[in-house]
Amino acid sequence: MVDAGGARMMEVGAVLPEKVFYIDRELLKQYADASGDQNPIHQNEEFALSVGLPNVIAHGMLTMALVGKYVSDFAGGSAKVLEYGARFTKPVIVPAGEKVDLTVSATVSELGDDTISLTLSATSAGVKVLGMAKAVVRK
Amino acid sequence: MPSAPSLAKQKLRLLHQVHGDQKFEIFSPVKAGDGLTCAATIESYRVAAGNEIVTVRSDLQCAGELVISAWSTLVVRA
Repeated sequence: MVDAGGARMMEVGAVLPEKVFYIDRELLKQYADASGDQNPIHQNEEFALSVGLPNVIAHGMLTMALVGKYVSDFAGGSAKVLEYGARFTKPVIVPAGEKVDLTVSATVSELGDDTISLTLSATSAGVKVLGMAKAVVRK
Repeated sequence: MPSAPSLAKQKLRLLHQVHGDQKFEIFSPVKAGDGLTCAATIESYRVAAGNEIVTVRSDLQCAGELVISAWSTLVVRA
């Protein structure tokens, strides 16, 4: 990951290295227990199908947390993250027994005196799962 | 008996709720051991194609200072 010194040399348009996270049913269970969000669409396939979903889906906030890890690693610590937002455009679909990818990258969109703005990209199985995903970090 | 929806019906509605988008503004870092208070404000509510869309802003304070504002948009599907 880029340290703060490297980050200062960033230019607008620079593309940051891609990182792949993996999500499986076990991680969804752990996230449900940690967050208290026990909505069965994130754990129970039969229920997820009954409400019209293609399969069990990951918690949006889990996806956002993993992308947030990418942002804070880039920034050099979570204390340097000033803004972070995203739209949950498509679900991350997590079939039983599979590890699905969450592939994250970012482009530098703006450089302030003390800040770096990032446009974030997050896909799973080739599908864009976050829209309008942006973060601002302190240099 | 009150005419409010039964708990079972309310739960069913919650199960049809999806998280549309989420944004954080972090004014100062929160550390382990901090005591936080949260004030939530409904910033907007609208109905589109039968879906209810509500945006809630949660302001977190630590020792009287605003540390984080978080916006959550929730969609209750028709």
